[in-house]
Amino acid sequence: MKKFAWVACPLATVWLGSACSSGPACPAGVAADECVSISAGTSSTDIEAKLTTLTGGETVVFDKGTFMMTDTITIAADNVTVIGAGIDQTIFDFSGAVGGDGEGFFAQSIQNIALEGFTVRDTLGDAVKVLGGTGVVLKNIKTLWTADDPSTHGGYGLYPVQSKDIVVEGCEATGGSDSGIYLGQSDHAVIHDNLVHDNVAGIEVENTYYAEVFSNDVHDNTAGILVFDLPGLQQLGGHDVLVHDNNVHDNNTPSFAASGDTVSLVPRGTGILVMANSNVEFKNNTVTGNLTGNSAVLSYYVTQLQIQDPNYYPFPKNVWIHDNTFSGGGTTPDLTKAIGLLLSTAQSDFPNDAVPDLLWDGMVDPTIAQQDPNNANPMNLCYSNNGSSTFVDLHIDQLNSTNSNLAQIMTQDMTAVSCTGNAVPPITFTGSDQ
Amino acid sequence: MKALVAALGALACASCSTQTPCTPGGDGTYVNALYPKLSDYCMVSIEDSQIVAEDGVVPYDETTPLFSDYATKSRTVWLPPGTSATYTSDGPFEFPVGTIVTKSFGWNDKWVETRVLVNTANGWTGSSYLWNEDQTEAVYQPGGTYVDLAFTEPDGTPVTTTYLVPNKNECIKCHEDLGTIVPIGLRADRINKDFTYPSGVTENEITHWSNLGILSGAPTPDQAPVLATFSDTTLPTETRARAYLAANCAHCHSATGEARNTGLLLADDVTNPYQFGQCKTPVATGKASSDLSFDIVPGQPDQSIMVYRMSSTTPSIMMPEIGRSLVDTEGVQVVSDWIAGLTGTCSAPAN
Repeated sequence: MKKFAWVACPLATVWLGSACSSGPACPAGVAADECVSISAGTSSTDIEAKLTTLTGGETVVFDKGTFMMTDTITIAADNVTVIGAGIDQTIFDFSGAVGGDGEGFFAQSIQNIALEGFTVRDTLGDAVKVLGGTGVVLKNIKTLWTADDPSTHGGYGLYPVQSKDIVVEGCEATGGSDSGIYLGQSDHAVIHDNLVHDNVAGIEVENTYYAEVFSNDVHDNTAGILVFDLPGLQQLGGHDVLVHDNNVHDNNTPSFAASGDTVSLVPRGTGILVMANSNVEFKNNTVTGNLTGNSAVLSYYVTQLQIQDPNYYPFPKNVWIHDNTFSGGGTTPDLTKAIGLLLSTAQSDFPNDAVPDLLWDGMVDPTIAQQDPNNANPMNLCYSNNGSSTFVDLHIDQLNSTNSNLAQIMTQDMTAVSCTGNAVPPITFTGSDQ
Repeated sequence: MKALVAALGALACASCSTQTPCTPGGDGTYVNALYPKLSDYCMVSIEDSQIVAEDGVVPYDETTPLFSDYATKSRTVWLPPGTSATYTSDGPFEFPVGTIVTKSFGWNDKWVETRVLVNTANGWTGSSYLWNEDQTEAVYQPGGTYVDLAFTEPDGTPVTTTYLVPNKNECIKCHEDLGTIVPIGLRADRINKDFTYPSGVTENEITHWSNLGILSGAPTPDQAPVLATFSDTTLPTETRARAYLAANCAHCHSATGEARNTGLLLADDVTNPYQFGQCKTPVATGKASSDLSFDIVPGQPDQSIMVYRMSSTTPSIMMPEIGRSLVDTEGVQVVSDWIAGLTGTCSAPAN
């Protein structure tokens, strides 16, 4: 007989129903039988056991204090609200997590979840992930990692994916080794008034329909705000993204993403970037001091990856960038990335030796160009009222092994793209299927 | 009281097969609320270190099971008398309300947990019951727990590990079909195999279930799909590897599973190499991609994220995400061998 050692954790008391007496008070207006109150010191297993009793409609109130979690906090019921005592007041610390998927909070295929007022610290994987949710509110949440080596940090801070009707508001996301706030394959989302710093990507809006990103402070990431579309996913053709009134500055932190991660292709010092998305409007943003370049509009071809998805559209289309304030960008492109290196070869040909604020890779969908051969702006890319900003069209389609001199190929004449573009309406959640 | 009687019985008669008579399904209230003890369901008990199915409860197994830290597994299915499941060739059978499925996990002749999947009026719901030291009863463990294990791997290597009993809310991670919980292995291709029943009779499971009347509309086994048997080393490497990925990954990596957002599809009938990972760049993998660019690089298992993640035991990097704490070296080997034999090249990204 082989040796068998068995140590099970003690089965602690599981509170059911309205036992609010020893925990924090329930918010006004929440009936006692719909309130689950969790007091300071409750163990990870007991918290999880309590959350398995949710049947839908409950409000879960966490006390002030630090909860040492050993496993993911999973919400599996509809119409649940989780409330802490505030950022840095209620802290979920995952540094001792020993198993599971490494996530902090996770909810999957639920209706109406609201998470509010707490800090999620040191998850092995993503801090807060909601997959397939309809009605997702993430409010006043801080996600962070404290390890000195940022490459060991989890990937995403706040991560709604394949979800609908999303609000991310008043959060602070910092330290993510992929993205602070990552919205993927979603539909109708508002991301506003967040503080997003010291991540690889600040805010990513990926393969998403109808998103509005505004009044965020995005700084000291590797790259600020990325709006892009990737192949091979269930939801393709990201479109209708409005980005306005953000402060995107000094995103110059050297990338600490794993080199196999797609976001690792992005050079440090990128302000705002649009790749392969349709109907994007950037307005009234302040974009300053991003040292590879303040803005870029790119096709998927810059990744040099083979496109194997026949339904994927690799070009940016109907992009309008206007009434922004640009300054202090492009002075020192990231030479460790292909595009940074390419830009540096033409640096002395740019005004003030700085990569222009407005950069377009110049790739044109040949089908559109063929249909409308006299259109000087077939992708409907428009720039207007961006102060004294500078422009370059890289014409990378003309770069090849026999002609690799970017300075000779590119153009800084923006006549063709000086225009009024298509406005993207702000998000409303009523009658959300447009 | 029932448990006490059972415990006394076990004490008085440690090795004989006398059982306290019980009725499968108990008083039937389990479709509204989970029973607190496993014995209340009257599905299985432990005799001589073996999981024994109660009368009328059908034990079964699968062609290629999920790897769970080398656990010995014992599975049962029970349908309310007079009801039957409806056969389908694709996906889990349609089971009537009241169906109870169990799966027990044990190491070294000691059972740790029995998971129970019940089809209620509101759909399937899962839960785990933790066996006591004396192996006389298992108790509902909603919040999950960790169990320290010490045992010997099949190749003789002694191992200690911490095994995760999932919490109830985690069931949907593996058992999801676009928002609802479904059984994973109760489908034609997984049970299309011979099984030796307690009576000593060996019979194909589809045939057996049809004969029992718990499965209706099934064709003869030769007309039903079958997932290849991973443990059959005479099969081609590709067949074994794809069967392994189907059994260990495809419940999430499908169009309706938890990993649907990744675009990586690992069922054995996926024929598009890009969809099963060949030269496919990761999407939301983050640091788990390490320094590797593609899920599968033909001919280069050590450059393939799939192998890297299967070979990891670090949460957030390891795949599957939950359900194991050890590396299935044989699984990794066969998948690696398969990738080593694939041909083609992936275009390198810009950096």
